[in-house]
Amino acid sequence: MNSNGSPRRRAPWMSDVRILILGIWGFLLQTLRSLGRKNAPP
Amino acid sequence: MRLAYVKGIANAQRIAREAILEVAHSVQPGDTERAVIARIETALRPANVHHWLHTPYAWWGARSRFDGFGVWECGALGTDRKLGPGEAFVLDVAPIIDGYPSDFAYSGVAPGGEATAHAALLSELATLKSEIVTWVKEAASGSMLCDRVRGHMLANGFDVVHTLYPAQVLGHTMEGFPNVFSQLPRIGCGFQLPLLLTYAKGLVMHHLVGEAYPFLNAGTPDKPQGLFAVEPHLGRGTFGAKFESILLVDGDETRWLDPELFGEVLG
Repeated sequence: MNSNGSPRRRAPWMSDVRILILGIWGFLLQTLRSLGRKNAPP
Repeated sequence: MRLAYVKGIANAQRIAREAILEVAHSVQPGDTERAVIARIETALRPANVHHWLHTPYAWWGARSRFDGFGVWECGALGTDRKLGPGEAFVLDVAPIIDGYPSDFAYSGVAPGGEATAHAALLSELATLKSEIVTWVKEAASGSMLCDRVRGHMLANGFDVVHTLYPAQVLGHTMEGFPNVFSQLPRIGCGFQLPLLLTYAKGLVMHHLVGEAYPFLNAGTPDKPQGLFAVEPHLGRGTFGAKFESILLVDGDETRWLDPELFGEVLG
């Protein structure tokens, strides 16, 4: 519910599935790359 | 309880800002992105940071408007590119301090060049920072707020850059911390597990049980409520600029924790 008591509207689920998939994919690629010597944490 | 939470976020944001500004004032032509990222981490060492939403980012020149990033998360990682005289740069960091997240970004220009063009971007950012407080109160949804920010940038001749972020976010919630993900260890550089899993859970819970949408983007259906890290990012020509600050939208109270552009965090 919203703060005024009305039912909360939902975002389009397809675009959020895309956000989730791209987010996980980007995170995996970034992690593999950053664990390489060049981008390792100091 | 609520006051303690806002204070916790403000304290974390204050520490992040101080570290970024300390390093920003020392940035010189010839510095690489990776070297400056290491300096931000050093500046945060006294705060004993072990957990992050994201580790420091530094973007020089055309990279400050995400040109040629490809997969954003990889393109955004620090490089050995050297900063040129008078070149624009952006620094951004989001440490979790005492369980509370922060997210602060600063835009500047390296010494030794003409800063007039960059000043126009900062002027637009200052206007946006002032207007967003009014717009967020007027907007029926986060989507409308995003439209208004985008429209203002375009009408004034700027490119909209924040839509290139993952999830095309103008902002993201800072509610719901600490949580089970906050204590997860750092892995490499860039986005970290507390960020990925908190927002993934937020999206799933939005669709399953109607929790508030965790992002401010073109699809945000509900009226913004709570604490948000808001990061308008614009570009013109070969460089970009952004700020990132915490916006509190809580009942009748709507304000930035740091009202001035790159200014002090008042809490």
